[in-house]
Amino acid sequence: MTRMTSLVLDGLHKSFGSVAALDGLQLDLAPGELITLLGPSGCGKTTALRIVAGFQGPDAGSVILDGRDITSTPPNRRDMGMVFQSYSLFPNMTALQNVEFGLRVRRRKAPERRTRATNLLEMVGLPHIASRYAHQLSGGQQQRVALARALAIEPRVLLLDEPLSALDAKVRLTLREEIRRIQLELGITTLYVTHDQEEALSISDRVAVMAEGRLQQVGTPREIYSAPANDFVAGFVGLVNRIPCKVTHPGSGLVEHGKARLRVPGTTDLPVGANTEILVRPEALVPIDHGGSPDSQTDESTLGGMVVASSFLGATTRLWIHTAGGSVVAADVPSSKGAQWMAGTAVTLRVTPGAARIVNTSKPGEPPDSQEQAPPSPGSAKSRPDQRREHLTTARG
Amino acid sequence: MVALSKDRPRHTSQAPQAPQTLKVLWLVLVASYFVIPLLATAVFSLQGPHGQYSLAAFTEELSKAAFLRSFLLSLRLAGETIVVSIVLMVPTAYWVHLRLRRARPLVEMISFLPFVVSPVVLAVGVENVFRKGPSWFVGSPNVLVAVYVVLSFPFLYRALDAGLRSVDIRTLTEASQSLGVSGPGTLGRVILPNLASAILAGSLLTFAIVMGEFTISSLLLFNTFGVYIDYVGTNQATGAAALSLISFVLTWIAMGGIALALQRRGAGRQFMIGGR
Repeated sequence: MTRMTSLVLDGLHKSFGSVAALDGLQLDLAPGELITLLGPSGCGKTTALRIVAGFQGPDAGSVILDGRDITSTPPNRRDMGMVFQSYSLFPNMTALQNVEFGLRVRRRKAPERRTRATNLLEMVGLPHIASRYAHQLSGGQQQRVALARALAIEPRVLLLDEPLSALDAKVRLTLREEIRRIQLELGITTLYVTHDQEEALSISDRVAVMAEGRLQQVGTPREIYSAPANDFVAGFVGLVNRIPCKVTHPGSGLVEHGKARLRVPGTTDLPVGANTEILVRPEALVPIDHGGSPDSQTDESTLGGMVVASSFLGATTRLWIHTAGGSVVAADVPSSKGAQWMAGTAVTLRVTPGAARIVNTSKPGEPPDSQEQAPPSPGSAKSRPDQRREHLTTARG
Repeated sequence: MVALSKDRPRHTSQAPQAPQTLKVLWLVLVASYFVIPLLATAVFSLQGPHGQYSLAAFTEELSKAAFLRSFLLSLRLAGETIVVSIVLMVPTAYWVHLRLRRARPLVEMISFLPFVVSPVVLAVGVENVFRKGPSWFVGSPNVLVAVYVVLSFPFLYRALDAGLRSVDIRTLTEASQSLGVSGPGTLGRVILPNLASAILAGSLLTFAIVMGEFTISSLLLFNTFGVYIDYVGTNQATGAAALSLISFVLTWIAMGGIALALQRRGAGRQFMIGGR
């Protein structure tokens, strides 16, 4: 049976020339836990995984497995199973032989090898392809066999390096659920690397968001999404609206966006007149009526504006709204109600209480400098509204 | 409707006809360039002293002890060259692909040297370099193996290079290591089986080169198969023609093997693109 193993990445540093790929990465994996390293390309997540696997050595720091420092242990003695991004099945072997390979290396007897490999192929749902070679398998099947092969040796830790990135969307969805099911079934400590935030949120016990070689936040998927630790995490995980505001009544938590007054936490220490930004998820902006004039303000914590475009996303429809304060924000509504918000319709948006967070405050008279402080944030809805609109399916009235 | 359906096939079948004829003509022309000298050699080798046709030249040459000696010598040298080349080249090419990618252009450039340095210069160089070597090596045809390894370097290295490019060597190596295999073990258990066709292709080319090599063995005074053919040619022209044909058939058998190997490698490449 799989052993319950703890893994510690203790202050890992790694540079390639003048570029720091890892800058003091500190991460603890509890026995049986699945942690995902999430971040954009070049953030150091794969480097971290390769150091854990032993394919690269760190410049400083150590990898500790069950209390034992394995930093200088060669990869073939680390007892870790790995699934790679690219297809890694040995082309000269059948699927069954691939799964048996690690057991053959460990000199297990043929009947034991055969039984275990067959069971694992069944576990990944592929008992019927045992005699096929890699080139006779689809991408999804190859990755399933690779998973079975990695599990066959009963590894202490399972490492997955973007195992789904080469697969099409539907297979990706199915396979990630299978990986999670098998991981929970075996209780194996797992380090998973991906740049896909949806994948990370859906599969993990905890998510470690990385940028520029540094850990930005470690938390449960819910914590990462609903309480991002900083600007980068907020922008990278999910779509977020950045609404520029001015602090007007710091004591009572009021900021202004144009004529709209919004109540947000965390303004107490800010000076009156300071420029700031608030972050709000699209689902936290709720269209409440047609609002009459776009400039009209009905209530505190509401924004007036006009729908400029909409994107049908299946269950939800994303509305793009030009606010009276001059920003373009995204708001998600159920698709059943999406039709009533046509382009050109005036709308009032209510900000869900407690859903807005304040970031990037500057002195009065200076603009907030969010883009200088953080790496580019693909989830930002505000940064370039004009460019963003070019990619939308517009329904102009 | 009827008129249309009649016109259409005529139109489509006529259009590619002219280039097809040209292609066939061109192929016949190119083939004759190679086939006519071969036919002439075959006809000449079958001619008896009184103008009759017979297999006398073939049977006579095949029954000579000197033929068998030179043939077996070349065969042994070819075998030894192939073994030494594989032992030297496979780990080198693997290492260059895996860890020394920046050295790849340099190794490729070095692999061209045997084409640039003439065999005469190579023979003189070998003689000078190995002059003080042990007699079992310098005084015997074994020294030819050292030269043949150099001569076959471009062919075997290029075949290996193509083979290594067709598989994701880094991922396979890392997959193997993560499953508990050491570095050398990975080479033997994972990389070699996946380079089998490339090694076979390079080996067959090496075989063909060694079996037909004349200049160096002649200059170093060893009686290999190539030297023997030349010797026979000075005394009995039809015998030399017969031996040339025998050598030709052997080379073609080797080339057929290469074609089969390449076909198999094609299947491997299809896998690396991503399967179905």
